[in-house]
Parts: sequence; C-alpha cells; structure tokens
Amino acid sequence: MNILIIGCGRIGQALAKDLALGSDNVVVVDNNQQILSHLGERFNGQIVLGDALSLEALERAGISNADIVFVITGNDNLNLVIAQIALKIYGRKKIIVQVYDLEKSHFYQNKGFIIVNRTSLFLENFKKHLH
Amino acid sequence: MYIIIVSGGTLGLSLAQRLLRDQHEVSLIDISPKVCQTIAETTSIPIIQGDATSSSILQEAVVEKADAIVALTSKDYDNIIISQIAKEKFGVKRAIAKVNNPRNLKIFSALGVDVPIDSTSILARIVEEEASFTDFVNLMSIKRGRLSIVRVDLSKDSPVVGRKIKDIRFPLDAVLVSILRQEDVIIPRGEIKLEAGDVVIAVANIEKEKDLINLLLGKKI
Repeated sequence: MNILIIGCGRIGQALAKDLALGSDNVVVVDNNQQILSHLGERFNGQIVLGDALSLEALERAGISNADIVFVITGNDNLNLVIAQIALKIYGRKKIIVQVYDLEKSHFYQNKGFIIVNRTSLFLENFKKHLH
Repeated sequence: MYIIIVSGGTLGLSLAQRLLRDQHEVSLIDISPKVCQTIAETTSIPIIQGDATSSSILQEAVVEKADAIVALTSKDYDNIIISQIAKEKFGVKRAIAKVNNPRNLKIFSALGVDVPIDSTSILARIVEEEASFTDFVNLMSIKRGRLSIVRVDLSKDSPVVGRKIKDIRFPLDAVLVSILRQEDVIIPRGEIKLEAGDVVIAVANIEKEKDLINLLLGKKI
C-alpha cells in the first residue's frame, strides 16, 4: 500500500516511523529539511522536501498513486486545503486530516475526507478520568 | 452592495476606500491588532480584529448580509478557506480571492473560489498586449479565465482577407461573434467575405486563443 504523510511534526514522524516498519511504501513530505532529518537514517521510507501546497511537490511525492493520504501539518486551514486537493484534483479515496478547531471540523465533516479533531480527542481522554 | 474585505494591508484598505467612494458598504477584517488600531484611528471604515476563518468573526461583520467577500491575505490556503466558509456556511454569493502564488491558481478554481485574482498573470497579459500586438486585444475573460473574447483588426496582409468565412478553417472552440466594418455590425455567415480593415470579434477557449489569432493575423504570437 502507498501511504503519503504530509507534515512531519511529532505525529507525522511517529506515524511515518511506525508505518514504515511494515511492508507499506511510506512517503513523507515537509518543507523543513531539519525536521525531516529527525526521521533518522534508519527510516525505511521516502522523504520529499517541498511545500505541501504545491502540486509539483505533491506529485513528486506520488500523490496520484497514494492509497492513503494523511494530512498533518500544524495548520488547520492548510490541512483542509490539501485534503481537498487530494480529493478534488487527484481523486484520492482515503484521506485523513488533522484539525484542531472544533468549528472547522464540524463544517468540513462529510465532505469526502475523514477529520480527526485533536482537541476533541484530548477532551474525551481527559474527561474519562473525571470520575 | 455590502462587501467584506479580509486584510487591511495597502491593497485591502485602498480597495475599501474606493468601494466606499462608489457608495458601497464595506467592512474590513484583519488579524493584526496593530493594523486594526491604525485603521480605526485614521479612517472611518468599520474594522474587526480577528481570524476571518472563524464564524464568530465573520458574524461580527454580518457576513450573512454580504454580497461578496474579498480575501486578500498573504496565505493562499487562508484565502481559500475564508472563501469556502463565507460561501457555503453563510451563503455569500461571490468569493473573490487573491492568489499569492500563480502556481496555485488551479487549486483556487478547483476548490470553489469564484474569482481568483492572480495579479502576476493579469500584469503579464497587459504587458504582452501593450508591448507587442496592437492589432489584437483581449477584451474580456470569462468562466474563470477559460474563455476569452478577443478583438482582432485585420490588415491587408492578413491571410483571411478576401476569403469567405465558410472557407476558413477556424480552430475548434473558437467562433466569430461579429464583424465591425466601418459603421456596420455584420453577423458572420458563411458567405461573407472578410476585408482589410474589418474588426473581428471572436470568442475562444483560452487554449485556442493563440491558434485563432495566428489564423487571423497570419503570424505567430
């Protein structure tokens, strides 16, 4: 399976390293060389340095053949635009997007991609310990 | 009309002042407290400080009454999200957005921005037209720039002069709309012969525009 991970922050890195342990083909895109280097020399996937909003970089990262696209940069608006690019320009079927803002998560739900809201994930986890 | 402009930079502010002068109603939204303070102190334009992708800020600007929203921030992804939320959530009819990186133009169109303004292409077009082809003018682009209306002045050197319209092989996706001959407006029909001095108005798919002009002028542009 071809897995594309856009954004190599803490979550992106951890996800990339974890998934690359299996037999899947993992590609990571970020615009920061230093952050990409955190993946380490033993990282068994492909690394693409480039601006996630550029179609050229996305194509270099093989978006047209990606079976799953994870969009996890630190910016909600950027993530939501990239998710729509993956859906509308490249016709990807499985897109998972990280969003912090609850209002935007709500507005963009059921638009053809899966939204994982980090705020509500934390809230639910915290609330579990209330009682 | 009521128009909301996002970003109180030089462009946004000048646009707001211009629209106010033309009797429109305008509100500005800017995320920077400093920019907002300066505008509040030096102008009478209503300004709201905040993130224009947040519903409460848009509602503060009475977005549901707006006829158009103009997103002029320096981030292309912010301009796209502002346009989408204003249109889809609040029913604003027209979203006009600045394209900062011309390579992103395709993204704006695919993601529902009605009028993406790509200043680089606009400037390039004007320069090209002004600099080289006085016998050809792009009158207007419609359908988000995919269709253009052009005016071509036929000189005696044009390869189509003296030929009947039905005998000329026009590119697919290009049609003559009318021929202006001195004081007359002629509807193009097959039997009509083109003459030197005719002004031809045509509609063409943007990709076929060059072919059409090459055909009518007989030179490469």
